[in-house]
Amino acid sequence: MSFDVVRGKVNKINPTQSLVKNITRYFENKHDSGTLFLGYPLSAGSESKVTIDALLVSKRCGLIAFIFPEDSNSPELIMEEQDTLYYHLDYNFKKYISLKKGRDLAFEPIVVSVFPDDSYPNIEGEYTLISIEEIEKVLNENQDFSFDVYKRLCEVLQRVANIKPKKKRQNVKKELSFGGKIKKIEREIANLDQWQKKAALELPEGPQRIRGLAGSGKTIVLALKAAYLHSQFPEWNIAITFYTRSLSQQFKDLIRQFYFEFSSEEPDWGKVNIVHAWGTSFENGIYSIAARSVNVTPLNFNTAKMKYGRINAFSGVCEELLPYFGDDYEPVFDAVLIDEAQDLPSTFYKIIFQLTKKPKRITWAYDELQNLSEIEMPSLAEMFGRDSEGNLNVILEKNPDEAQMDIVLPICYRNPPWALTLAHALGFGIYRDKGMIQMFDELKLWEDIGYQRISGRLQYGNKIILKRSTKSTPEYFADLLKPEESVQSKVFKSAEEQYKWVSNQIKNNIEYDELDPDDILVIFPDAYRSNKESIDFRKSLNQLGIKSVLAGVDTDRDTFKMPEYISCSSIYRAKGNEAPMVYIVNANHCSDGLELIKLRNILFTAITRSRAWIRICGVGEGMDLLQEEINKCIEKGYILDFKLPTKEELESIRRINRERTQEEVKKINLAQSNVKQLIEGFEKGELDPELIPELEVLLNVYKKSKMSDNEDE
Amino acid sequence: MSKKIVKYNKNIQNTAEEMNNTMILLFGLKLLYYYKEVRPQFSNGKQIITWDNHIPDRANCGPFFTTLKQYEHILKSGAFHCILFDGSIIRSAFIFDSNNLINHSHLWWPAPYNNESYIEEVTPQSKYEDFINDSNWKKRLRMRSPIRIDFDPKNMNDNHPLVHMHIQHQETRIHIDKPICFNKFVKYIFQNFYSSIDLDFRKWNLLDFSYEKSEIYGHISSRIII
Repeated sequence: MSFDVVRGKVNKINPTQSLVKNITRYFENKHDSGTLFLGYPLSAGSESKVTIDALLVSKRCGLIAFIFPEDSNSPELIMEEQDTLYYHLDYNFKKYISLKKGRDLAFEPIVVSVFPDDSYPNIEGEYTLISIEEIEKVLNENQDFSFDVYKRLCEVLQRVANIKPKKKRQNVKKELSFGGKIKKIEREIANLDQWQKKAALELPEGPQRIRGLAGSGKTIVLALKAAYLHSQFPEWNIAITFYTRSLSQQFKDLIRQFYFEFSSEEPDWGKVNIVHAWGTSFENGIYSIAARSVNVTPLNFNTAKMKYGRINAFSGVCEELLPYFGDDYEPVFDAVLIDEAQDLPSTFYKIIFQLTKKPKRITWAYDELQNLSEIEMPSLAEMFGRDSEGNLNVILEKNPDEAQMDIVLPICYRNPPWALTLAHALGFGIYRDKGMIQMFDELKLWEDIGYQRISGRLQYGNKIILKRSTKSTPEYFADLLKPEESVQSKVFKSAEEQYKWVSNQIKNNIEYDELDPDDILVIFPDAYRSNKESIDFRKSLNQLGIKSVLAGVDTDRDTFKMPEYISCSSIYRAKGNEAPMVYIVNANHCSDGLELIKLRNILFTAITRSRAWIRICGVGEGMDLLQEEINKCIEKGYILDFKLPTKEELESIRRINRERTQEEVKKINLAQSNVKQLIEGFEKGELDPELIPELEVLLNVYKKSKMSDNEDE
Repeated sequence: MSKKIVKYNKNIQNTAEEMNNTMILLFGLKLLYYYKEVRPQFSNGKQIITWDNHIPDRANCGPFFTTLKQYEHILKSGAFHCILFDGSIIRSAFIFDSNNLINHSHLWWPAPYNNESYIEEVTPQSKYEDFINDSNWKKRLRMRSPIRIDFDPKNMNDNHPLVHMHIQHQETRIHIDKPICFNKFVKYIFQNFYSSIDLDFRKWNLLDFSYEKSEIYGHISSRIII
């Protein structure tokens, strides 16, 4: 038996609870499976939107819709309610060819009015009226539903809303071309899965956390949730917020599309606020709304950077604002939905907490891995603080009888399993000769993010083999792609040779592989040099007559892709975006060096931008090193085979590879260039070591530090 | 903290926020000795930004332009937005009719004395007092003209360009293309009169006030040249 309740908007709490209890009892006693949706929104009919109090779909009983009538309802009104709902169900499901048989529906929806006790009126004919205690009886009476129709019905119900692929791809002629394959993948992704649907509709009386890998559909879930909330509570003031500017348009499109399904209308954008986390003088952001709401001038990035430095700019301005919220502050929003929560500082959540009315319907979605292990999500105490008695302001309770407050989306739709495994292998330095670079603090996370253990136990110091689990991998990847086609890498002698090769490949992608230019993304991992590098690279594209843009430089800051143009992008602009074909050029930048964690995270982020194909290119020795790591991963058949570090090892790995302050970086760079100068001087015979007695001191200091390192180990 | 948040129009709000941000920035960079946070206000049905103790037509303008008296008056009455590190003064006023800017006045009043070091220990006022009472004032005197850039559609005529700069003399009105925001004025002052200071203007917001039609000001002539 499997039975699940999806808890959306509940209008009548007591009857709903009794209903859930009775239906649960039925599933406990009977060999049946199904799902009960509370507050299920039907696609809009011609006139109005319809939300069903409770809708059950079960393998044996089929589809049963429950109405909780008002006590005062007359028999006529009860009949009318049932007729109307029946009409809507019939209208709604007839839209799906898979649910039709001839001209009619392939099944008969059952509509039942449920009363608290048996004092309901007696109505003759096709109307079913029952007391809450009689539910099991009704279910037992309807036991001959077709399994085939049940399966199709589930598919339709799960879909909730249709996300149409953005591109029609009419130019695709060959089924097996890259274009043909991505067309199929896009169609598959268009269907929501049961976890996404549950995450979107579940509506707890309080905060909710949604976790999932990049590409598990968090943005879609949040957009659907926003549309659902807006359709159920049109008077609510809802905010959707994020850090990557380009998400704004995506949210607007998705929410409009979903809301239209529920109500056939344009959302009221005065109530649904899609706002950046910070905001500028020209656009509202959560922070700027908050600041203005307490009569404080919101600081812009430039000013904040001066005060708090680049890295702490946002957390600094939020912190500065917090004391202005007094006990008598009147919150602005009924619900706040936060995407990319991992990119936002904990002080920002404290502001959100102030801005949100009770019961603090704050939903935040994040990817634990977007930054790998470097920046961990702050704890609930850090995010939302504690009350005057020291209790957490926000608690994520696990109560099986209530809507889920903590949801994990397990399937990664965006990345092929091979690319994802390789991204993790390189990101963590699993196959790096000089040793691993970083590791999760919580080893259990490996399983949470969709790896299965082939051997070994997840304990510090243990040997382990991990592989992407089939459960977390959509089938279409294996059906449509081969690993050797999906993942490729190449070492070049010079940047020019590399650019030429990539440009020619792109030409092929467009001319023979049936990809559109805007399906192709070229990522420059070195953010500081990406402008210059892209100018050089685009020369070779221009030579072949291929048009391209440098995102955020040639385009306005919210535009990432343009039809007919290849997108080139620095790694920071590429975050949050994706493309079927991704070329990483000059990947050697990430192979070794200072702040290796940061460099490898860049590589991880770059690889995980790819929806189907990834090409990792680079130059020289650095790329040779990366290529070795890539080869090992491929030879082993895309598994992660490694020894987990001990806790002490982990500590030392972190220390070496951590992010440094600008001051530290300057010092190290200066020292490096001085030493290089010395070496050059000696090699050219311009310097005589005998004349520099400090050299001996230097050697001794170096030896000593090596010795103490060994003692540490 | 107040629960009643008065709603201002978008442009005046942007202007006030721009001024505040820039003053906080300059203060953090030690280029300001002192600044006062700007708040929009309502006045005669218009929304305005101005300095404290704004009393029109006294020592504020006209014949007092370029006189020590004016500098002293502004300094002592607190009729400014910020004092620069060298004792110079900046202030700006804006009048909005709904979302339209209908008047502005930016003023930079350079300190009349040579400032060898940043003002830190002494206040600008005592520094000024010290200067005028110094028997050696001739050596310390620094003759620089104030700069005022006004946007004044009401008085526009052939000799009175819509936007103009006063320098050296009250009747000097050098044509300026279009109304300018606070940041643009400050940028102009720093680039021209403090050019040795390395200030990165690339990320500065510049609000663009441009009008295609001047009908709202009662002028029938063609669009204002931008």
